[in-house]
Amino acid sequence: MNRAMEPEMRERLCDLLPRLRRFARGLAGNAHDADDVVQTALERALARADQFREGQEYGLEAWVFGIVRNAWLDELRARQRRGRVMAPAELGENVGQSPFDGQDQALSVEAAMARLPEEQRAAVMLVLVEGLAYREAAAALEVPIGTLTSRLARARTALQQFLGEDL
Amino acid sequence: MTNMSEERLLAWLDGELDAADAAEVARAVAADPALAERARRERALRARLRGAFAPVADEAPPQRLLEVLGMAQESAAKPQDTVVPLRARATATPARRWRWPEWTALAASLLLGVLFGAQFARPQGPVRMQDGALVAGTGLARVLDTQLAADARPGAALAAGMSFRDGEGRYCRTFLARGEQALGGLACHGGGRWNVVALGEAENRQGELRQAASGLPASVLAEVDARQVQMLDAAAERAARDAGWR
Repeated sequence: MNRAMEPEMRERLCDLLPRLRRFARGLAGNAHDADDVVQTALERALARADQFREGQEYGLEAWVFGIVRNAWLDELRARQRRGRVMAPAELGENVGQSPFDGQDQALSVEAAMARLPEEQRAAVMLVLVEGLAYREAAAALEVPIGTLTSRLARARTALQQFLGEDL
Repeated sequence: MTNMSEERLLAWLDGELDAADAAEVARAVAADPALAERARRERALRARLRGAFAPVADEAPPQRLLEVLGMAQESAAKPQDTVVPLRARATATPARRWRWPEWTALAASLLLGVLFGAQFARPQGPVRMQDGALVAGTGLARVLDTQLAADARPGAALAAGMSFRDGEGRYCRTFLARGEQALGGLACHGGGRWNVVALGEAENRQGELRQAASGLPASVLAEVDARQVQMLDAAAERAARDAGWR
């Protein structure tokens, strides 16, 4: 890694850290797995800081969010290899151990998010929670913008149904 | 129901349309109760998602993550304490985090503002077209450049409101302009000018400038919702102003 840019990169990752943790929490559904994913992602981001080029198609956020998402996908693949596939029922059981301190609202949001396919959950987190622009979110997820927007539209319809009429 | 594609409505709500397109959608939504209800539900969904996940970003990160970044506190006087301040430096961190539900409540209480008419044509108007983009006119730009939100005077013709940074690190500010029509809008600083990214008809309560957010049209509040990453408190706002909003 380029020594000159290292302190700046560390600083910027530190600024982003609360949001990276939030994004990973949305993907993983619990704090422990989420922070494992963030840790892996931070290590990778620092190791690959040379590869990051500022300000072309998108900025640092999209780059780092993409690394977090890929670290999560790697974790899911590793679980599959170990034969630990998270079934929907298993995800449902996580609901009882909320990382959100038992807030009623958060519980049902969490349960609804857990029912979404992973790719939709990632799109929802990046655009609706983290506020990334479509092009940035699409870059982070390595999909065309049209794919991103159709995932988002499907996810929104599903979430509206899961969360019911009290929206 | 107005013939509006789901995609276009969502793009508007997500702040992905340019000012002219956004104005068109805002008009359609204001004119169609069914569309307005769809928009309301989408905003409510986003507010609920943000509200549910907001506490995570407020948590102090665990020590092991700070260690990866070399930001862990050296003086580990309390080793069992895994909660440390995120950064020792005092920088422009918001004193207060704005919660989504506040915004939604505000937005719901206001009518969707729509206008866009003759005000654009006049050179001395608050907003004007420049190179095909909507930008703050001279007077408004001066107010946005110099006025702190706390200094906005009740009933003034031009007033700057809340300030925040968007996802790309740009500074954005809301404003109110009272002419023959009251306008509320949102402008983001870039390329040496204030680009107006949302504009609508403000609630015009004569002589009563309540808190900066109120009076802003719902479409503008939705833009604030969609863009804001970091609200600035008074000190951060002053620092940003003194640095020329760059």
